[in-house]
Amino acid sequence: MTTNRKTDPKFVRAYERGMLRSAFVSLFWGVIAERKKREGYTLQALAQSLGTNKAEVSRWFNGNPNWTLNTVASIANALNLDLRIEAVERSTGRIFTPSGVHPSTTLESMQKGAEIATTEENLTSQILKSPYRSNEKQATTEQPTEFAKAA
Amino acid sequence: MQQALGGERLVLRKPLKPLGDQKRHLLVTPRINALLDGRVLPGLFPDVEAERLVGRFSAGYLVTVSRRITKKKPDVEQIVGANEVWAMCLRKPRPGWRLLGRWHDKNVFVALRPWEKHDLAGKYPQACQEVIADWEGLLPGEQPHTGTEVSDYLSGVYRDDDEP
Repeated sequence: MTTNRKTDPKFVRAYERGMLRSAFVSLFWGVIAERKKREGYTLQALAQSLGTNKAEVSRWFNGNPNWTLNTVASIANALNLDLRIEAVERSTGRIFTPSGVHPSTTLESMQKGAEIATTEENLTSQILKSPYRSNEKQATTEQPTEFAKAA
Repeated sequence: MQQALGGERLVLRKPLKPLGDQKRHLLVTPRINALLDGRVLPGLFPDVEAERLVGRFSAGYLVTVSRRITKKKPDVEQIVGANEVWAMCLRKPRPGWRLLGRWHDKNVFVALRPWEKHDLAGKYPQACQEVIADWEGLLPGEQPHTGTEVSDYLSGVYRDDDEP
């Protein structure tokens, strides 16, 4: 029974909340680390821009802070960053932005893409069935997983 | 490695909700997999924070790393005095757990032995020997990945806790 906790909506929601918090922390640390390497940027400098102390800022990046949107905006401002906001609809892959659906992912354009793909598929199957096709072995479409490649 | 994976003596521990391609890979023994899934100690696991560490690690998100004895609480630490034995530190569920293992490659960590933090106290040498013996049994002839900098072990976003 307890093994099903992973599919419990409350468990999944808590996980996704934590991962979103981690995404912001990771995003900003990635910028800080890169600048630290290139320009000697310091947490002290960030703390000063934010009007807080270095210890507080350092703690953020060793933990799991639940920043308010205002804090996220302040950090982005202090780091001179523009944040882009997108939401991907899991069921369709459509991308929503604050100014509407991303043009390449409207249902119409995705349908059009599917039609083109189907036409290409038909052409490919016609070519494969062609009597002029040589007897060479069909290339496998199975791709090694990323791990298999890494290993 | 392929034999260990094929024979399911090691399994790829996937995040609860994978986010695109995995940047890093966590391989675990079936025993650790069962532990994390709550099939060994139901009630303790599965745990959101433990899953989140797997999620952060796999996605290439920020993880904190130390290669020294430290009072900080890194996510991943090298065991000082052992031959390339590392620990993935699950701070929750309490009192905390350590997944001891070795790096097979950059970004590929193989967790071989789970320890409850309190049980491990004072037993590090023995625990590390077990890890090395497990490694040799599972991956005969293969040397663990080694490096001199944290960046030799993992890419993505990380914080070296040993830096000032």
